[in-house]
Amino acid sequence: MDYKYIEQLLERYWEATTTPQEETILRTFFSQDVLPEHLAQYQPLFVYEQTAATEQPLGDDFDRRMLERIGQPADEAPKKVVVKAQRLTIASRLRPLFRAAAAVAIVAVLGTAAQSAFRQTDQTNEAWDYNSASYADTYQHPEEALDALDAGLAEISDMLNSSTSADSLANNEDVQP
Amino acid sequence: MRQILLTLLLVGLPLAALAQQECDFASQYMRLYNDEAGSLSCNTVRPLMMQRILQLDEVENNQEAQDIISQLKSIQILTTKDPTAYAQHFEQAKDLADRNSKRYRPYRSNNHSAIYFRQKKKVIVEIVYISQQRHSFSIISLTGNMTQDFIKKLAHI
Repeated sequence: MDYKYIEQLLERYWEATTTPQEETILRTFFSQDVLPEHLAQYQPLFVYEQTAATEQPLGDDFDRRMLERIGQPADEAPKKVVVKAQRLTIASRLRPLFRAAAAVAIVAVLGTAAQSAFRQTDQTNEAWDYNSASYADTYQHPEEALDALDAGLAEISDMLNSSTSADSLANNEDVQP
Repeated sequence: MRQILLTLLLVGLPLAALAQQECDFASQYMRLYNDEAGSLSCNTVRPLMMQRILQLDEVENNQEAQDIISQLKSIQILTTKDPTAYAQHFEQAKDLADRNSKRYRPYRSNNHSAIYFRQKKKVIVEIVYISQQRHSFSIISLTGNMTQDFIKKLAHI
């Protein structure tokens, strides 16, 4: 069968120069069930209007039915999120820094207050400010430690007793034996 | 991120406070001048052992000893085995104390020994004794909460 006429019409269709009558001829031709292989690929283009007319569009209640199916009431449908542009000022940009500084200040103030409170209670009889954890005992038994302590104290005592002489330093107004 | 910073801060502050605690003279000298061979040695009685000493019968029954030891927290006795280094250590130790004159006030001194005090207000918190004898060199750091009365009693042991 010769499809030259149809092919000519198609050429003109692509060039948008067909008349309404010629387009009707094309639609009629492509509505056939049996088409030559090289023309069958164009069939959906011309039968679209006929098939679209038979399709059922989505109903107005489509959204409601879908929401009910997924268990969400229709009146609680997700609202549109409105995003507003926000102008960032320097103050708002530095706000995390201010907060961190405030946290540091709070900790420092609390620490200082606690420290001074402890110091006030200890001031009368506890001026000792060394780190006891930094010491490691040489002696296992208190008796041995006492011997070492005695020896050390004796040396200092000797010095205190022997140097009441002229080589003692004069400026010891705070502590005088 | 902020929580991490805050946590680091909270952990860091007590550590920093701990690190700022004082170091006694003997420990400082040991840290500065002990050589690789470890020629300096240090015998230590720490505060806990000092408490145990106070509980010994011979101390409990001796009021004078109790009065003295109860004011002490620790004693560090630093010595060296190298006789050729006695003079050098003696001079170094005195120099170290003199360089820290705001901290260690000289109390007594002669050609072969010196005593320095570290005070906080009226309380003596450390007595440093530096001594060079013919057969020995020693630095003794006594720490505690010592009063003037303590010095009087110590002089009359």
